[in-house]
Amino acid sequence: MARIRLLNIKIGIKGLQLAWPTFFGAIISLIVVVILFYLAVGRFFSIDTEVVEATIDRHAYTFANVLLSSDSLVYNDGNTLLRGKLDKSKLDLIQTNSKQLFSKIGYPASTTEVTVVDLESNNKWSFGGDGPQSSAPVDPLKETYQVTFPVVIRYPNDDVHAATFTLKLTENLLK
Amino acid sequence: MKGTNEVVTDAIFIMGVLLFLILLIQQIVPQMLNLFNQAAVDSSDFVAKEMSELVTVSGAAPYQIDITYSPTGAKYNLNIQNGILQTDLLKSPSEIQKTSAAKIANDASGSFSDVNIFYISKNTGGTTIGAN
Repeated sequence: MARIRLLNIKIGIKGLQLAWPTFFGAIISLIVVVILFYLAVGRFFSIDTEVVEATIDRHAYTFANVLLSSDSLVYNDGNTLLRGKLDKSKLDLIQTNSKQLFSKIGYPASTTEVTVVDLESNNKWSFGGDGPQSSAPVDPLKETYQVTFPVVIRYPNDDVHAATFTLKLTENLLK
Repeated sequence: MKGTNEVVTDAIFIMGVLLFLILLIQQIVPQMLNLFNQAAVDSSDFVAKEMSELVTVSGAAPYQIDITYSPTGAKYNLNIQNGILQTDLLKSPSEIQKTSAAKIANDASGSFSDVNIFYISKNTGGTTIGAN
């Protein structure tokens, strides 16, 4: 046991003595690398990030939510806008003239198609329009995404029917 | 075997080297974190997308909503016009590091320089943007 311990100590000390130049070399190399990296990053490079995401999906969901709270579609009892409760009279009206709505609140360089289907009476409303023209460069390739939300339709006789609200967004994304 | 003085000298030397390394790292790490922050959460791309989403989604609030958005550290120019939200990440008040843009589905507009706190307020009159 004593021999082994002695041997260990000897190797340890010997190893340490031999490792000093290597150790200092490593430390100095590390410092040089860190300083060079720091200078290089600070002076010659800039780290850039690219946000990769499903832009069209996100836009479709957000825009559908905006429309489901829009005074142009949603029932208003005089004091309260009832989100997700569509007004049959407003649906009839918007179906005849929807371009103004989408040119005001649509995504630029996009086309929106909305379909509302009454699941009880099978009544159907379809409307849509183009968003504002974009002044920024847009990708010539188009992307499309469709989302469907459950809603209700309030009829003038106070009937409320279950319905689906489907939004299909076709968009030229920004480059 | 080494004598006591020699061991103490070695120990002090090692401690000195370690202290030097710790000080070096303390100087460099905050700079590197700042650099990575600028590349990620403070980047103009990130802020443009966040802001565009917040401005658009504010329109989904049936009544009034007030949103305050403050990216950490960096300052920006913000310009919202014709459905395009543009942010310039600033190196200094007069020097732009990077410009990014994103679409909004909202008729909000506004232009601000050298700001890093944004206010989005929506009520029955529409969406208004503020910043300082």
